[in-house]
Amino acid sequence: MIELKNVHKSFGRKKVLDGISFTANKGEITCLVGVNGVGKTTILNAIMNLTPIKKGEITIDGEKMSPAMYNKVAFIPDVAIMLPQMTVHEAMDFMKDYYSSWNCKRAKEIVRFFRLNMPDKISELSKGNQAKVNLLMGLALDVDYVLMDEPFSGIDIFTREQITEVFSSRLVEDRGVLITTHEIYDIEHLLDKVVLLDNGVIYKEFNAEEMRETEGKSVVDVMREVYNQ
Amino acid sequence: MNKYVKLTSLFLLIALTFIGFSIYKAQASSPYSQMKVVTTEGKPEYIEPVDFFGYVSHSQNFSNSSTIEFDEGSFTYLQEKPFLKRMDHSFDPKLNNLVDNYRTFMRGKSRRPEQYTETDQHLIYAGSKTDVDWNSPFNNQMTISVLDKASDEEEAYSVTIGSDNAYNDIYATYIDYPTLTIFVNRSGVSDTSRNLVYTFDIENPTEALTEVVDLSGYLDKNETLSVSQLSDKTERYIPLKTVRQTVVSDYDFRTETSGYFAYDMQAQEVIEIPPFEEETLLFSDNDTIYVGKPLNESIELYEMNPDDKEMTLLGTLEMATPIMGQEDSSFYSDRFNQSVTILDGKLYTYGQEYVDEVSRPIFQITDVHTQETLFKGTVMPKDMTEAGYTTIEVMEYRLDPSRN
Amino acid sequence: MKKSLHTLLKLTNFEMERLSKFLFTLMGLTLLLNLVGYIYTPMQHMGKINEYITQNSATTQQALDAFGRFSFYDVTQTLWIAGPIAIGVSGLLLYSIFIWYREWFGKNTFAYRLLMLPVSRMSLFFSKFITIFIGIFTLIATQMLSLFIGHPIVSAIIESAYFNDIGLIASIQMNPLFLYLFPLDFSYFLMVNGVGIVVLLVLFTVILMERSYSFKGIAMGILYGIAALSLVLFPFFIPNLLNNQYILYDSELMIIEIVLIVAVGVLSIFTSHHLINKKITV
Repeated sequence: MIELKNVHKSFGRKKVLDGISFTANKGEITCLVGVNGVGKTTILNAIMNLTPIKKGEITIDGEKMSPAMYNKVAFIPDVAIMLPQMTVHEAMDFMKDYYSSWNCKRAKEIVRFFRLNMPDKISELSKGNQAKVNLLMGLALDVDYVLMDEPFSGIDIFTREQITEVFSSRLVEDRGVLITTHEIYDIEHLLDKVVLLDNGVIYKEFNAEEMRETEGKSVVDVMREVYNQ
Repeated sequence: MNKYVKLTSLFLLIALTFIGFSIYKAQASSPYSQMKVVTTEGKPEYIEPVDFFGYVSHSQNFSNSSTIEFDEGSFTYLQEKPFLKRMDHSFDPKLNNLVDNYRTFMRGKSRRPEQYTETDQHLIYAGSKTDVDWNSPFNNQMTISVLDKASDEEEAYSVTIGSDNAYNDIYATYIDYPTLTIFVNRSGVSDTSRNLVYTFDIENPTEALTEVVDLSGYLDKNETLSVSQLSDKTERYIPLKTVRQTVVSDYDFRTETSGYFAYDMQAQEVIEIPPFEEETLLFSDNDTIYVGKPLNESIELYEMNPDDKEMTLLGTLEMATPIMGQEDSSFYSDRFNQSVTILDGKLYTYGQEYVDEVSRPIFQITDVHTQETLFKGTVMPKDMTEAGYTTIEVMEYRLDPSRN
Repeated sequence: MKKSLHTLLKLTNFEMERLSKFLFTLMGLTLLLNLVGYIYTPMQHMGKINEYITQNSATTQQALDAFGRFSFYDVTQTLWIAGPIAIGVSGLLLYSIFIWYREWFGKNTFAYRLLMLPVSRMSLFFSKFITIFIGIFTLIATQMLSLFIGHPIVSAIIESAYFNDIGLIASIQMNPLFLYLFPLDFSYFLMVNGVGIVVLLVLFTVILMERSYSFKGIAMGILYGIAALSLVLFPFFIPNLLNNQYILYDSELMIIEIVLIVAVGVLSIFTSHHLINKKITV
């Protein structure tokens, strides 16, 4: 379980996170929803110790983040993070070199699934394929949790479909997935838990399925309620 | 392993090149030439009081040039001394010995040997505030420190010098225990400069130095005072010269000696010395004033009676070469008798001798009473094959009276 | 321990691969410009001598009197040698800044990947640090090798009558530039490199401050740099503060200086450790 307790974070005088607390469980897909600039990416960065928090505590299965934990939690940011001069193959070798959790077999599967060409240089790939490489680097790790930041942003429709397929595939089963997005339509039906963020605080935290069953509202309906107010 | 090929090769490149360079360097530079004292006349033990710094250079291999020290009869290259010791090194042999022997006492005190005097029991320092504090050039503060060598105890006296602030240049001190005689050149703010002699009684210290003689009266407008380099600074008479500077051109001036004097520390008065027509040498040793007349390859030495200025010829001292005793006074114009001096009845001289393309020092020690040459000799590389291209030049030379 | 050393080696190798193109360019430039100097400078000198002899129908001795003997030292003093050294030094200094900032401002944000590697973040720090030093020593080694090649070239071009063969090592020792670079005097070499190491540690710390606190970090970095410099220079002001130039012996001043330089180095490592582990932001 990824647990955030009373997390505060400011950029200069601007409060970005003002006492955020929530959990993301293993085996579930948790989605952080909110308009741009509400601090979704900051939460993921903070979990991965890529940005310091001012106050609060973040634990993963009860432990604080440490270098060894990067074999347990993978993060797929919304920007390309492998060196552009590397080929897909070299990028995979690099990962294999440093991560004990790197699963070569699964990596090859993902390459096939995304129809990536291993000798291609990352810099020469299309934006969609670069996003796939990013996914490859995160999903080929045998980790308990995967964090994804805006996996659909700026991506063509075909790629988007392929990525959506990932969420219902073996690639994420049993893992805890924490995803941020403001484009909810494609994956709405797959979500277990939704955390709605607004102005640095959690506005609402609910189970998507329960919401549909008890109140007959989709995630988008709830979002509309919140942001139209 | 293939993955590490660049890192490995760069590492090997660095390691092999540096090792190779070091080996090449070690082979290319032969060790410093071992030096020896060559005695051509007399006995080698007489050279023991001589303490000098010299520069050894090789016309065939410049990288082997270095500063050498001759102390207590043996040679040491400066480069061979430990790094930290080299840092504290000063080019004055006397000062080096003082720092070596009395490190605590020497802390915070000026590094000019002229400001230290020694007796068997005491080491005495006299320095103005300016000597150690370069931010306050004009003041009248002075410190006199006395170290009891036996107990290692230091007694420091803060005294004033004159009533007004001035730049006080202490250029000579002498001791006739307990009376310390201090030669000071006082330059006021208004640029007037006076040469004054002060005394201080160590056993009965006062708060101010006592002015005993104003030497300014002996000096004309274009004249400066030069004091004799003495070895133990306990002599009764201090030889002095007045030096006249004549401007030759915008960039050059000529100096000539215009008068010879001796300051009597006991009587606290100045005695005028009648000079010879050509050149005059003036020495003092213990309670005696010696006057010398340099001839071509000899010195005619007289003892002068300070009362009636009567000269008694002691004899003619044969010199190894004409240059002996003809000192080059251009180095420090406020001092003389740098390469020729009398200590305890012996005349010590040194000069540079040029043989082919190299230069070597020659030393001569003569008994002033018997005119016997006690020592004559030079310094040469032990390995005679190096002699043809090894130049040794004396830079700083002192006599250590304690080893006499 | 063994594992972390292996990680450091891997990361250093990785950084070295990234530096290699730039480093090989600098090495090539050094060798090329040196070579031009080894050939052009003596040929120019011989040209002058020959012209003098022809124009004045002079003898060898007369030409020697006019121009003096040419030695390898004359070549080492030219810009053909000093130039590439200056380029190398400034190149690697700029690279010390670039080695960090490219991870954030490169085409892709590789900082994410590096900071998410399951390795101690200080090994990232040290791998970059070691890489810069390997770069420095590679260029020094290149310069050394180049001089070994240059000496016979120069002596072959200059006719023996006009050549003053003072030896390679003597030519090197006479040039103060090499005193800083080559192990000519062990204590001096140790000191120059010690200072170099600490300067690089301070620079890395300043960069990490900026990467952790952005604009505020720039101010902190500048202050840190000034504080480190002031601390290291402080001993030189002790005599002035105590109004006594001789209150400390030079050797004591040196020991204080060494202690302070080491202290600044250690402090920088600890500060960097804290920043890279707790404060850095992608």
